[in-house]
Amino acid sequence: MAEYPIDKKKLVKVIESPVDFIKVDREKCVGCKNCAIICGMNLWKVRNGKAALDKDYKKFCTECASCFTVCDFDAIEFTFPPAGYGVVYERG
Amino acid sequence: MKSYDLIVVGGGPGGSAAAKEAADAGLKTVILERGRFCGEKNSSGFGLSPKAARDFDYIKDLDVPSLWPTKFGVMHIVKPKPSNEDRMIWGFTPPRRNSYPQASEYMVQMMYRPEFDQWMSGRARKAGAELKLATLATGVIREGENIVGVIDGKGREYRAPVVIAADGAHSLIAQKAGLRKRWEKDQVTVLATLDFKANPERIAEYCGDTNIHVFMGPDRGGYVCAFRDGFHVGSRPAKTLQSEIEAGKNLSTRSVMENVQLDFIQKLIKATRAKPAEFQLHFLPWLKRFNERIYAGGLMLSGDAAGVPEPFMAEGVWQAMYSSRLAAQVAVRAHKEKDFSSAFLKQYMEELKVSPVGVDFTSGPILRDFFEQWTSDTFYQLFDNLADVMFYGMLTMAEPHAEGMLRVPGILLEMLPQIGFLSRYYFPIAEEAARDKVTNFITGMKTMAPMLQGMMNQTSGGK
Repeated sequence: MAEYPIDKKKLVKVIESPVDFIKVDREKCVGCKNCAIICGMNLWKVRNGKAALDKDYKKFCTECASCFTVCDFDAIEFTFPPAGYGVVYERG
Repeated sequence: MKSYDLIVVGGGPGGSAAAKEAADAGLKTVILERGRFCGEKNSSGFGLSPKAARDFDYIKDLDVPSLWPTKFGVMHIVKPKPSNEDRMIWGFTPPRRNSYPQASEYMVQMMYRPEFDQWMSGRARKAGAELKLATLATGVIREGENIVGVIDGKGREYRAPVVIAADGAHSLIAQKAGLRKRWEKDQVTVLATLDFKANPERIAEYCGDTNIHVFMGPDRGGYVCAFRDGFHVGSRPAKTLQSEIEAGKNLSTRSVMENVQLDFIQKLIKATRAKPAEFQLHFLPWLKRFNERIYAGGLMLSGDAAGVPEPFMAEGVWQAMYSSRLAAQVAVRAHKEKDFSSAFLKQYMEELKVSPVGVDFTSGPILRDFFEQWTSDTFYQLFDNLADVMFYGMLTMAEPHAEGMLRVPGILLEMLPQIGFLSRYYFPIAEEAARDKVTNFITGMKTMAPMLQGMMNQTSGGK
């Protein structure tokens, strides 16, 4: 039998970005949890009514930009890791 | 600072199709790709449809290691949870009838995206386009009303009177150019896939010529597409991010993990000695209506950046290639006319809207509603009843055959609600797609009706 539940975090290959590429504006965030619901890698939590990004997100983020898209309050800024960094799909 | 005739942002199949077209026409063209290789950031959904071979002559030369044209597929109707068993399986194959030969040769061409994307960029380079890898375009350069180039993450400037942004669903160029801030939640979807690495000989033995398995149940769905040395397990048919938020959970990721537990997939894993290798999240626009905000002075958006994946099953690679090539053709014309204004580039949007890419959006909302029913109880009942028509009815081996035959009308009567359900979705789509044809047919029938009536009266003895 296959491993179950499958550990997604072991199955993403990411070259860790040296700089942040997702930023949260705590003033704008209302703690609605949309980002925490949508992240396929479970990298968001809501703590004390504000969105908090996993401190290791640069090791696991697949750059899908779902969090940025579902934020109704424009509190998430998403660019991309610098060229040469970030997720690597060898068998995409 | 470097100067070009055309800058293409993004080295996916769209970007490369645009660059090849432009370079073939003599434009000095550069592709800026953020990955260290083309396809590094991309994952496949379901392979390349035959439309690509119909419209792009060079696709006939396609030759990459994982390439596997689909001759046979299997649809598994899966029992409701918590069972993981198949209720029944149905086969499918390319249609005998076609409007061009490739449509009868294969259903899709299955292959890994890094291989295909690199093959495509090879065609663009052969045509003379320059490819700059590990180059992330982060901003645009403006002069008056027009965009006249882009800036990369290291501050380097690239200038050209026209830019094609084929930089994916989360297009930074579209944002910087002010064409949109972000997609609406009901305009995008995210599909999770789990890649397994398997023994190629065992894949060949176990799968034979069948490399697609689609799963459909009253409460779930998904797919397996096999490559030569592994396979992807995919999540259930797409829902928009809006519906994921409403449900309060990431259904796509859950779905793919649940699908691994399906009996068929567990057997496939065992038989091919498969091991999970890569988890992928595939974010893409999935619009119901054609997006017109895809041009500005000196700029055209194509592929996912333009929102071209079709509204039914969200196929996007051919759409990306087609829209990007069209953008390149308009760029060539713009160079001839020396006009790169928004007013001139508008013709790209107008031509795309009436092209085969745009036409799919004419009945977009109805197609979408129909597709979302795929994992409904009604669909499950329909197939369940069809199986009984066959094996409780026509082909029964449990009772005398004549009795079985007599049961068929009864089962068909019970299927009326499901047939009604199908026709509720089917007729509006068919009508929309062929409004003229339907009108002509009905007019024809009305003209012929009195004649037919006359003939019928005669044959029935002139009552």
